[in-house]
Amino acid sequence: MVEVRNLKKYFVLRGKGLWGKKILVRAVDDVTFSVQDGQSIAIVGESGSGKSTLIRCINGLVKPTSGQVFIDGQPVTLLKGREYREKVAKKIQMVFQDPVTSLNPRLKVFDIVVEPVLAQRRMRRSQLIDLVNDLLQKVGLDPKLSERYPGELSGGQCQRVAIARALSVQPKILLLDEPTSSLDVSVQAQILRLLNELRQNLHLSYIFVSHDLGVVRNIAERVLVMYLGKLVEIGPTEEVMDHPMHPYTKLLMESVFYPDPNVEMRKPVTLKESDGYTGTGCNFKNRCVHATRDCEDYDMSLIEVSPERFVSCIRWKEVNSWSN
Amino acid sequence: MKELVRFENYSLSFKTLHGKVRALRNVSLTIQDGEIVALVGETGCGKTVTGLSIIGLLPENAVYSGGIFFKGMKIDRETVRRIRGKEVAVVFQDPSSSLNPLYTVEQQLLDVLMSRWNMTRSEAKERIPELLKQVQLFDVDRVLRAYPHELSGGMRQRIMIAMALACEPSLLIADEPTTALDVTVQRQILYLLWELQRAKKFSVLFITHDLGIVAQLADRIVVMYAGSVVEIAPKRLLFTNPLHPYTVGLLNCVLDPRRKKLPEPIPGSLPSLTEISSECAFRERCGHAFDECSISTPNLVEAEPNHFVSCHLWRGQRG
Repeated sequence: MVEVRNLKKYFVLRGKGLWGKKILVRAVDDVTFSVQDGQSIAIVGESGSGKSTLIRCINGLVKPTSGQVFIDGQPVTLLKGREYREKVAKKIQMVFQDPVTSLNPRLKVFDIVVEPVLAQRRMRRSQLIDLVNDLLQKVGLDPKLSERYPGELSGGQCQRVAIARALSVQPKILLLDEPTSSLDVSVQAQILRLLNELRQNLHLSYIFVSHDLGVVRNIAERVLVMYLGKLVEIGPTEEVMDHPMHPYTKLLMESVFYPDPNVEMRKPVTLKESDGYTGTGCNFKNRCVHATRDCEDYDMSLIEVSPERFVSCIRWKEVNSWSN
Repeated sequence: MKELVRFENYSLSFKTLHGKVRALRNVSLTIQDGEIVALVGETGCGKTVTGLSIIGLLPENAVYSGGIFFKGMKIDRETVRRIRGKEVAVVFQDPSSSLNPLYTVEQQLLDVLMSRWNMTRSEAKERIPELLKQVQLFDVDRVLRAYPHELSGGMRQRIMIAMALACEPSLLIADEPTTALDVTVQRQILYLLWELQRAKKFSVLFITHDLGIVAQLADRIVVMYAGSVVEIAPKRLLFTNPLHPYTVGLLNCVLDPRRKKLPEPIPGSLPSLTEISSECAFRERCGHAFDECSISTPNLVEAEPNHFVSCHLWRGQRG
């Protein structure tokens, strides 16, 4: 339903000083993947890996440098105006990380929720009221809150409003950019339950960005792991998390703290800190314990290691036999 | 083990235009010599102000009663000067806002050493490389000449830890030191902290909302809710036998990346801190609340050795 093909987004930065050299930042570098109807995928990676830029390219908030995004088979990159509303805004909506800053503080909840609808078409006031009441109930809010301002609501309530706003045009896909990372655990649990319910009832697809692997496990069927703009591993959630194959995914999984008092504190694999994009070859080679000369020329294309399972490591066989 | 810090019926409120905000209510807890105590709870439960109270970093409108004792000495406006930045050091959540952007790292480290130990500039300079190596920063020259913005988040937090340890404190307060960092860096920083603590035997008050970290790092856990301590227990006991309904709820909300299980949310939301008076703060969200709960705040009682809980229900069961 959503297909991303060879998507690239490069930013140009200035180096130190007024006459500093231009630096090319490859935020998203040749990413290809697709999401089926009703499927939920998670994109994980550390800050700066390009995961937010990637999903912003999908709904056009960021204009990609090259590559295409297809929604229901139609190319949608660089669409504007009416065509954009028809082909993108009706089908894809987004929920942002920080619910408090992503809602306009000067609008009432009612106006926030109907804004995307009114951008699409006109509606009578009475219809709008019904719509808002229905949406607020769907996301577990009291319809009376529609006359409040976001500043009067808690973080969890604001995030519910943001979800109601996203659902107002009956999209098929929600882009969720770390929707629970600014919330407390008890509220996070409520929002995750809600997202799960909504998905079943409304047959939604989620494209989900998160760095919390506990959240990922619960909400996604497939995981894409990103590192410095490149996809390094794709596969079903359980398989990737239980048996990571790319050295970076392995590192990520080893870094997680489990809520289990019987796990002993263990020494992390000491690696150099990320030093940004390295020019040629594998992005991860400077931090990787398995790197060899071969990695210098490897273009990081994904290798299918089993059905549905892709890894962008030229030494994946050695890496995985070595650790077993 | 000797007692290092003791909170005795410590209450704290802030006078605001909207009335009195009761940030802490009758907090009693202890930190022993050489242990890591984790303070867990959600936003607004008072974990950060508990830490700040020890070093007297409270705003003007704070009113407190009860007392905090450090090595048996009551902390007040005068005595706090003797411990702040000397016996007690702090590492805050956001390393970029706790370093001064206008000075180089070297200058800031020198300031700490010179004021803490009355060293001369050259004496202090000799100490610095050793401090940085302790926190695994080996590129000493580059780091020292750098301004904070030229370093990564992980490096800045290492420098904060180096500055704190330069004071050779007996208590380190770490207020969510890794929330702003990536998981891979977080693991490194926390391991570093843990290793240093094992080697130097200082006490740590570790403030966090992440029970995953707590499960591996802490010796004892203090759970707070809406300004009150609801449960105190050694790590293993708290996870295997939580007694307070809030602790049980909190543990059910925690996601374990190793298995798929939807969290069970605690119904309702946090009470307003201006409205709490004499009842149990968790009453409205608690599935077990009964009459007694709206009449009085339960006291912290020792339910089993080293395991304290403040819940009417628990006393009810026993009697």
